[in-house]
Amino acid sequence: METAIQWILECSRASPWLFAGLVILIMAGEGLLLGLMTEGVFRLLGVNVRKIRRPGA
Amino acid sequence: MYLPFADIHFDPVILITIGFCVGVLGGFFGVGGSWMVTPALNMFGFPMAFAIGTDLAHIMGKSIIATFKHRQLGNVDLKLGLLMIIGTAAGVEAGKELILHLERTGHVEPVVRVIYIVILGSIGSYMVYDYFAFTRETRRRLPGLAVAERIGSALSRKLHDWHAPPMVSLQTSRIRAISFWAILVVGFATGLFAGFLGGGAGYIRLPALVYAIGVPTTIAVGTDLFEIIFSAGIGAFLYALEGKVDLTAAMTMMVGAAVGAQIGTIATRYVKSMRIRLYFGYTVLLAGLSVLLKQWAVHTEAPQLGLAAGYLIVGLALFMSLLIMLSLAKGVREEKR
Repeated sequence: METAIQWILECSRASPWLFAGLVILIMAGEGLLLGLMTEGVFRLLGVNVRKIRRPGA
Repeated sequence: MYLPFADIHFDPVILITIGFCVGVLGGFFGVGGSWMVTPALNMFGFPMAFAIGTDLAHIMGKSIIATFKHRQLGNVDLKLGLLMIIGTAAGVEAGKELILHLERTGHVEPVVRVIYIVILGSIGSYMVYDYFAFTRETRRRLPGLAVAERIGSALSRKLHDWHAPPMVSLQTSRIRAISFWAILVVGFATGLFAGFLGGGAGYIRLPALVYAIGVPTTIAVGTDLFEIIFSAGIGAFLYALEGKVDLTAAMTMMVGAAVGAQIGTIATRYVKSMRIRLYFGYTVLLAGLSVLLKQWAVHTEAPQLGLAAGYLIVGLALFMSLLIMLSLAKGVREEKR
């Protein structure tokens, strides 16, 4: 992990465009991954949002 | 924890807590939350440019999670979101040009702050007024019935009556026909404020979707988040080009935001739409008060007022997250009865 961060840090100094692209890709990837993971945890806890009804609205 | 990009040491618990709070607020209100994260990061020692860049990167990732969840609930109108992006992009550019013009005249900061206060004050007051007026009216006309949502407004009805072709049908938002140009104008106006005032301007887009386009509240929340992915993404890219994004901090904040966004999104299922608007109105009003304090601090050269403004915004975010979680817990308890 530290090696990867070090490499990205060097990228940010050497190639701003590559760094900017990596920022978008990493944040989007982490967003998707964490979204799926937390969704899995919620399901394990028995929370299925699709089955929840809206109250009076 | 050492943050190598910003070259500072920072407590990861603070990062995760900020991420969590803004995740709850984002999932519930459909806002990015830059109004809260940027001053919070700055207050705890982040250099301003890094605070903005890191915030935008984390908002983009968090909005993906929240949009994904809202999409599952059928709350994202992709067609409306994509059409609005066209107007928003043009509006952001116009807003930026306006800012550059004001910068040349040397009046940019006070002008932006005053407009910010007026906009937040008007939106917040109207939404709070709308909630109480609607509740009173419904109780008088339909006593004993649960308060439903008022969909649309006089403005949205006027826009729906404007038959300038091409007309667009928005099934998810339950709008039979609306002019493409009306969507473009609303998108442009929200983009103009985003470019002029900074951030994703979710606090303007949400009421614009509800009151100008006539979208039901929860669909406005989901569609707003969908747009924020793009607006925050572009912002994060531009700041990263300048090397002003601390990736390690943004990734750490996302851990808290991932859980918070799910909680905020699920809470929209349990809280009545009009109440979501009321909470949003209060949040926007208090955010406006914080900007007012900041402006006052500059005017009177009293830095402690500026600090108070920062604490107000962080306290507000903590309080609203707690309120949303309590509303969720209450809703779950009532459902189980």
